[in-house]
Amino acid sequence: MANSDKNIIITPNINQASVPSLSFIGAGNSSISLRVQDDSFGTLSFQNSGTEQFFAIDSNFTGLLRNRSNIFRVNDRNGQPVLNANCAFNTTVDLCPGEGNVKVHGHNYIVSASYTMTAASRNTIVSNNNGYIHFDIASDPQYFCTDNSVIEIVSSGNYGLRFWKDGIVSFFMHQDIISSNANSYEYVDFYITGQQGGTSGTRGRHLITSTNGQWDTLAAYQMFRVRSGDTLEVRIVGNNDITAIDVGNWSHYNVLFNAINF
Amino acid sequence: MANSDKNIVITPNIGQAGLPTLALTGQGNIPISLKVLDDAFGTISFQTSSGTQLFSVNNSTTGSIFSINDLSGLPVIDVSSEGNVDLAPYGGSVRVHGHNYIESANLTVTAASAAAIVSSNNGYIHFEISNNSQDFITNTNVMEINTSGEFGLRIKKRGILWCFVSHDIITSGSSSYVYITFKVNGTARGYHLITNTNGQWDGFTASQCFKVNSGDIFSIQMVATDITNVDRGDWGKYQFLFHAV
Repeated sequence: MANSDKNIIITPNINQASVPSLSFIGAGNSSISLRVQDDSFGTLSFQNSGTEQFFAIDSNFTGLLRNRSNIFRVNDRNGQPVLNANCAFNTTVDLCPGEGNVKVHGHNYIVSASYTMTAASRNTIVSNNNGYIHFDIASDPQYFCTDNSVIEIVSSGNYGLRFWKDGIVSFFMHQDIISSNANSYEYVDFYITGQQGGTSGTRGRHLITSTNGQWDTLAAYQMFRVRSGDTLEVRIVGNNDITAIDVGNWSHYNVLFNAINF
Repeated sequence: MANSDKNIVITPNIGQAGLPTLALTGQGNIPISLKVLDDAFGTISFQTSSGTQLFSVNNSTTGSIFSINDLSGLPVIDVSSEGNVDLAPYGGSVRVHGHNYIESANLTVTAASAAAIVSSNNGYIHFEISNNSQDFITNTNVMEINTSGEFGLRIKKRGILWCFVSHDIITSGSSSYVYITFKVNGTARGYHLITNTNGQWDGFTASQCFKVNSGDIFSIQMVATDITNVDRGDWGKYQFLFHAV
């Protein structure tokens, strides 16, 4: 590792078996070579000293080698493609065709989450005929959030879910419930706190007719625009007649979040 | 196509009208040239021998700074100095893990399984594409209809599966309830009910998301005590949304 290591070596290899190459070597003495491969597409391959290709471009517009040659290709350390741009037949941009993560704005473009509610908050709502949902993943693998840096369970105040990115929240809930009356209703109240739209407030209400002593489902679907730091609070309100609310497999709160820069 | 075709030719073009060029030619004799364009951004453009730009970078403070192009010169991937990334802005496919980032399916229930559920007050939903103008699976390499065991869908990639149910039924009682069970590999992952419909048509609606792996079977079982009718077609829809994680 010295200034004396620096070099750019051009090796045309005219009439030689070896491929033409341009080697770039810095003071770190770790070379990257641009090699012109022996194929019909003029492939330019950027390789390390161990000859692993990490980046290549070619002029393959024919599709003859569609599954292995692309006009632009970035590889991982194992030589597996991470990014392909393929113009054969039809334009295709392939991101992480094997494993690996594709992130937009620093996270998966779509984040999904599945929650139930805590037994304690269920008991409070039944007891008071009014209360906020305390979301829970209950240490059960069927409940999850694919990216906790985007959606976080809030466990103080009015509880709810906090979002740490700007985007659109699609919220789907199915909550089994029994109420004793037949001529009133129970409803769920969605409330956004934070900076969305400049003010906090109610963003939607959904009801079912009181269930007359039978199990029924309080179902609601709604979208919300949120900014990073906003919290979605969900409250169930009865008419002094809620007698039971289920949890676990009979209680699902699902979230689909997609990043939008607005 | 011979070793004699190989070359690397540097043409600075100092004082000339031609662009500074580094022409790289391999045994295949299909040169790709690196050209420095006549603009104010120092654009380096990789081009075919016919002048089609494959790839370019520049140091502009506005607009495109990184572009990969198709054979007509339209961008396939474009990155702007403002931080925007455009993938296939003029059409084509954007794939993640080898498939569309979101795959969808819209299915109904077979007449046979609807009849079996009515007959037994219990049964698994057998999906079908009964109307090609409205029923579909966008990619059968990701999910396909399973036709044995608990039927349902066979999932062929790892990700998150969203299921949306809208299915009309009639039950004769007015107390108790009818429910569906969502299962992954035979294990219940969620129940959704409605109060019995007292002889009237009512809509069974449910939605839920699930973590799934390649090879998983997602199935739906309907259980009741007094079902008298289960609709299908336009009145019995099962919709799915899958995204890679």
